[in-house]
Amino acid sequence: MPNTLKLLLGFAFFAGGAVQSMAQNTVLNIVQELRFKLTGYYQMSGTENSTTFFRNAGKVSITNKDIINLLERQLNIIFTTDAKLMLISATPVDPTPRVVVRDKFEGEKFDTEVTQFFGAEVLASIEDTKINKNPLKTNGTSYDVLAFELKLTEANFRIQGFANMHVGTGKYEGESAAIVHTGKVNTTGSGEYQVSVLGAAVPVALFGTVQVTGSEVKAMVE
Amino acid sequence: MRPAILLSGLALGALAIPVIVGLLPNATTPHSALFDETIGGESSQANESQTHEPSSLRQVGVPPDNALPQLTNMAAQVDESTAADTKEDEDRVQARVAELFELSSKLAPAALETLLAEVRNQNPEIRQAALDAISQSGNRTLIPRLLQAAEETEDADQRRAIAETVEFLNLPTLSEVMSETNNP
Repeated sequence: MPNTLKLLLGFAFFAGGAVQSMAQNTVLNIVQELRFKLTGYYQMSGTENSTTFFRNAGKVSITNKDIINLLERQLNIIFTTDAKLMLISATPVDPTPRVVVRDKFEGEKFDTEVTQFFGAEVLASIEDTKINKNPLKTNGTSYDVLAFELKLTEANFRIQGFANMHVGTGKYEGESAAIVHTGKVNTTGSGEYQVSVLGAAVPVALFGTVQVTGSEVKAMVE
Repeated sequence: MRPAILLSGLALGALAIPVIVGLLPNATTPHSALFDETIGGESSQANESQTHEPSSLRQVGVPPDNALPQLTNMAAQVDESTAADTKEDEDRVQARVAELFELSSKLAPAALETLLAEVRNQNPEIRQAALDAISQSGNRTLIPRLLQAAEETEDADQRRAIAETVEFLNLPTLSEVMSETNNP
């Protein structure tokens, strides 16, 4: 078993102590926010003059708003302008964290699970960190490769990229509970969007960043 | 005669060398002087009583042996306190970055003013977070103020970052493109 996994399992035992008195199906998860800032190139209709054909590239921006708009139509739900894309990772290590849309309604937070349409994957994570044993405290860097995939009727894309992440300690009720990675992923990838219900899909070449922020650890019933 | 004069000159020169060396200024550096006066005071005095060497021949920058553990401890303490300060600064920056991103979904003028003000922050991470938050907002009314901020800065990297943000805001969004295509 790799040393990193042994160490992280050590965190799991520590975190497990914090939830001894809780129900058996309550787990600790890391809750982080995702922010997508992508630029897409797509092929526009060709043009020509008397001597030359022109193949024209169009450019488009894609942010969280666009992704949430697409999810709204897929799910038939209307989200507010405060809706956020959240990444929920199980502790101690989660190679396939879940994605939810977090919104507020009448002051109450509610999460809409969208993992079947919008997935995330940690393809590699190599840490260069210092872990203080007592109290448990982590600091350092990790070299991560993350992938995100959107699969909707109207649009889909898969992007993947490398990030030099900051490694810190996530706390649950004031106690160290998890190792948390935050940072900006430089991504590239491809996708397509549907022009219309009966129309052809338009391929898109994508590049940009995905920011992963936050180090909250929450107890969740699963 | 000539050989006699030559021999006399050589003899005089040989006698002059120790005199000249004795007259050279003390060659201690501030660094080694610090060790003598503070950490290695006692031992340096002992060394002086045991050995007598011309100050000009003393090794520069070499502390007494018993000063090394104390120096190592001092260096470690400085490292720890520097690391703690750095961690606190990092936490403050991360907290501010999170606050700025919260503002990206707000339409209130005060929120937008805060974002624009932070575009000029001394900390490059906070500046970039403000620009990213403005990009997330998709608010094109901020473009003239961003262009003004770019003109007012002499930092080429800052100007480039602002220009990239303006270019991103000027792009049609995927939602707009799909909406136009579906509703021509």
